[in-house]
Amino acid sequence: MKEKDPVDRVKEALDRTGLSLPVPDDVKKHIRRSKAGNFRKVLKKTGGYSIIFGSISYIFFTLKKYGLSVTIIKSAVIWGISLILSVAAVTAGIYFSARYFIPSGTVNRTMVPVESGLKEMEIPEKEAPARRSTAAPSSGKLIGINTFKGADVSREEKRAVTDAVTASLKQYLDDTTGITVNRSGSRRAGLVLLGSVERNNGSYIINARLVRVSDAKIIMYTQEKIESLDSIESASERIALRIISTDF
Amino acid sequence: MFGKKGNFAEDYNIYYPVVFSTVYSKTGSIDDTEDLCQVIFMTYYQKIDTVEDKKKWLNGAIRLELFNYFRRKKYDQEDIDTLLDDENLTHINGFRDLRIILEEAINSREIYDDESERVLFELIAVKRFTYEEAGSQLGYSRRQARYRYNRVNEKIMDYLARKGIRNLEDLL
Repeated sequence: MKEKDPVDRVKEALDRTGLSLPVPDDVKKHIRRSKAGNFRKVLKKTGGYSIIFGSISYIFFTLKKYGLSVTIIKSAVIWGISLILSVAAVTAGIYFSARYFIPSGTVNRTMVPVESGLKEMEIPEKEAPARRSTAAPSSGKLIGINTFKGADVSREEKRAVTDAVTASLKQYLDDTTGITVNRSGSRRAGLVLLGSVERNNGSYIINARLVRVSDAKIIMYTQEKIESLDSIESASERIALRIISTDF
Repeated sequence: MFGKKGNFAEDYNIYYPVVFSTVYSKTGSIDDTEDLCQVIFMTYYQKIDTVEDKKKWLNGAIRLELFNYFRRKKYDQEDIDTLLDDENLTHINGFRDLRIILEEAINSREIYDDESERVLFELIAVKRFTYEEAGSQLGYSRRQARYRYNRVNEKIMDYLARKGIRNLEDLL
């Protein structure tokens, strides 16, 4: 006769001595089903429940149910990773949906808000020609020119540069272009010319940017470097030429 | 990382099936058992930092809650005592000594590597869960549960052998 293994003998001994206490199948099923739910109830009643810990404990009990040996710490790590992946997936979904529904031309344009303290945007000179257009600017425009800001320069120098740029611009604008220049930066202006003058090792760096008021977009940016203010007229003319060749 | 809550989650996972089935064996009602278990574990959560012997504390809490439960049900004191006392103590089919030795063996700390293993043995040998059912409560696969259970059994047989019981069948 085949000898019983130790497992059976111990169980048999427990039965014979009244130490076994079999649990009905329906109760076993109930224990399995109600375990995580009752855990949440206990924590809620004792004030120890939070949505985050509730989610982590859900992962903990679920993995245990499937025979996986995890600790609550490991469950928290899994929860964290899941959260990051979910956020990344949602973000990617929103991004690609936006790309699908919004015309590509609109998406690709960069909107740069204009603020008085905005640092000058560096645009390589070689990129500038791509923005220029030889076509005459559209009619009915008013360009307001604010006095240029300055660094290490006097008020007179700032005014001189602003006046020179204004004069050069006016020189190229006549009645046929339909563009007028307002030195005071009128509120009716559709375009505003903002600029700055910086003193750098004895030379002057002049930055100018043309901003469309309706959407605060910079539509033209240029920079000139001159050794002294004696060269301001030629520099102003170059700036004015770039402005009028810009496709508004 | 989670301190009290984390420890509670680990302990709750291990002891819930044992507590539930023990309480159910006395009340016979799943709903009442669920309510009593919630009270027991709520109290355990509040006192978890001061509990030294978890199993012993939970057994005491089970007994207290069952006592209150039967009092609410208007049971006589004598009936309550009978229900709460292990009725098998008075009816052990002449295996009194073997029972004492067996109880001593299965309650011995040296038999188990940890509390999880102790509960695994109790679920399979005493409560008659299958390997799969017991494993799913404690986070073991069926194979792991079977391996651990058999290892505990071998340790129990060794323990009994040291007490002079070389063949358990001879005593049955």
